[in-house]
Amino acid sequence: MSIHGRWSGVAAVAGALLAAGAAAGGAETGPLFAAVGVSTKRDALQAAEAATKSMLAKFRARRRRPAAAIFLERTGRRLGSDGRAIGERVKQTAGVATYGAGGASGRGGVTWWAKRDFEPTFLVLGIAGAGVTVRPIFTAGAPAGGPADVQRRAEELGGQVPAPNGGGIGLFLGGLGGAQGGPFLSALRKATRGDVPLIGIAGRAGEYVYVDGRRLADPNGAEVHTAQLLLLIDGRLEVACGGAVSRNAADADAVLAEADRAADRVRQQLTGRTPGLVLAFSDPGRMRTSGLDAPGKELRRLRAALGADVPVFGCYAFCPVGVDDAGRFAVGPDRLVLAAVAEASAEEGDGKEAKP
Amino acid sequence: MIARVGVPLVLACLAAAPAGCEPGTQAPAPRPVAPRRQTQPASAPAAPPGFLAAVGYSAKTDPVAAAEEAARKALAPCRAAGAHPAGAIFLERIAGTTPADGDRIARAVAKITGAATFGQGDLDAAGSGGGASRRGVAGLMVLVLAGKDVRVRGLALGGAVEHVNPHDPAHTARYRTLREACTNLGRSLGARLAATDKPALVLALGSVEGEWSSLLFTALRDRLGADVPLVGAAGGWNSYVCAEGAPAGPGVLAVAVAGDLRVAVETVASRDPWDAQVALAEARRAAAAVAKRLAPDRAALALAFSAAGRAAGAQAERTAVEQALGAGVALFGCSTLGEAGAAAAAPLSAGCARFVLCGVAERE
Repeated sequence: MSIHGRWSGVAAVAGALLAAGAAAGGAETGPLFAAVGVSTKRDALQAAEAATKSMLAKFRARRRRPAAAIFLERTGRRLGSDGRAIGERVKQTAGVATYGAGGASGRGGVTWWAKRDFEPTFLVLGIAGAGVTVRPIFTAGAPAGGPADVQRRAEELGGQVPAPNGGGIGLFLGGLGGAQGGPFLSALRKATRGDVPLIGIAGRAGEYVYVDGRRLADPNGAEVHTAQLLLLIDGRLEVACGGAVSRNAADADAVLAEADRAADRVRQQLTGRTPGLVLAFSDPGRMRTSGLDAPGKELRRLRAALGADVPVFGCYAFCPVGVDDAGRFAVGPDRLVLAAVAEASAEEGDGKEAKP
Repeated sequence: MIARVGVPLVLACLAAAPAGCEPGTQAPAPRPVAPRRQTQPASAPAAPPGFLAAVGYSAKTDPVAAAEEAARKALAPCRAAGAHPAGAIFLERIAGTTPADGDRIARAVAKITGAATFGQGDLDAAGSGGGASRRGVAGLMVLVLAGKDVRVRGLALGGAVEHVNPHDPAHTARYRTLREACTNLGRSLGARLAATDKPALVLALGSVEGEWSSLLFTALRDRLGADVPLVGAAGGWNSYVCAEGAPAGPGVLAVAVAGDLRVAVETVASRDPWDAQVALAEARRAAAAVAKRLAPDRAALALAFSAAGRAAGAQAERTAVEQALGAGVALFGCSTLGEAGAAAAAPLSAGCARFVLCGVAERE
């Protein structure tokens, strides 16, 4: 699925939050560039720093600077209050607007870069490019009022999403429990009218979310550490999405064949262009139930189709959201979702509004 | 969440003798996927039917009273047709039950139907999220199968229970152990069933959940063979299974139905189970596909299992099945925490958030 829309101006809909996010990025004028830094240190703060430095080194090698940093922490069980310190460490090290989520461990998933199941990993994604911005929209706290609260929050978040007016994608990171994640993301898709391609994970209850140092507060003003965070990655971008709803996650051959097909579908949409970034999320069952036992086998299939050196950001986690094998919105267990982000072609770039 | 996986241990094995019967229609069927009340035929045909399925439902909260009421309702069409049941299967979703209740339910159903009885129940139907309870529907349903040359055999495996918390990384090693245990359980069950006469259909009900059920049902299918249609439904960790003559407990139950039957199975892995329109459209497509495959025959029995949380709603999915297969179909099933299905010679679809529908018709 190619996305040819474009999100409208910052001030139009999203208000102060968007303005703050837009101000954080967009100074870059070069082509799309993304890099992922990885650390396997068990200490989350050390891992945050090491992964961020690794990401920055790749940017420096290209004489570039990221517009924003996005992290995924899977180093072990972390308290929500730890999340703020972890996020601050990334932000201080990267020196740019920083967003992220973490705290889930064990069955909650590992990143694509774990060499074995349950290996602690810390990923930091840096992204830059002409007009590339990362804009945060979020609702703080966890739904506490049952399905109605889940619906209300999804509508509240979706209502903040500006109308599409450019190429981009919404990356969702959240701390929603198993019974809340799917319904929330399904409702969010409706609230956004399906205009914004979504990818991401519902996360797990208790996962922390970091929003560039902002204090997250519930309606009573009490500090909370989780949120439903939608990062709008915008710019002169073309996004190709693919996915697969597993026929049987206990069948390793089927799992890998589905990864092949999903990646091939994405590659075909890119019509020869090399993606600068791949966002990928997969259900843990696809790795563990199938007996693959490590992310590497599925990752290799993705990179075989999309580029051996393409930075891949994402993890195995419950309730991935994206598209199915027919390119339709999909959310739920037992699935792989992919989004490849590439520089828009010159033709597609023509006529686009210049971004700050 | 505590995962419990049984090391294979035979709980019960049963081979029921073929039973002849005359045709009849089905009794009022249970929620959430049961048909509406059907009428009795004015008179039973003289020729014995090839296949008869009837479902009875009770909303009573006393397990034995519910079992008796549901069994009597299911038996009524058989009696009207002068048929003797070849087997009975129950699904129990009454809050607060224990495995001992399962034994009492099985005895009550067996006493009334006079048939080999198998079943599955949820020990915590009000709070586990498993079974029908998530939809606010609880109760007990009994399926009675009868017909010329129809044979019903069942086997339950369970036993020693391991306690593993799959969410805890400290249990990494156990994850593999769990996987192997589920696989071995399915293989053992399949190997034992495969040794009997070839079934037209196998219904598997397990005390497992989510991806673990996929392992179990996959291994079971591997042993049964790809030419045997399979329907699998996981009741959740906190459920029990039972087969005639053995104590109820955690494990997996497989019931093999043999006879001159046509079977069609459709399994939908939902792309968005929380979108009511999407989920209902998927159920409709599955029902239409089953009806098409069985045509020109009409399904006498529909086994329908729908993942807990699917937004279509039990009533809407029930209506979809009835519209496609006919209001007279005996509809047996509940909401589940892991679903699997495969038609003959088709690959198994297994996992979560699915809708599985199996139509069974007498071969004309």
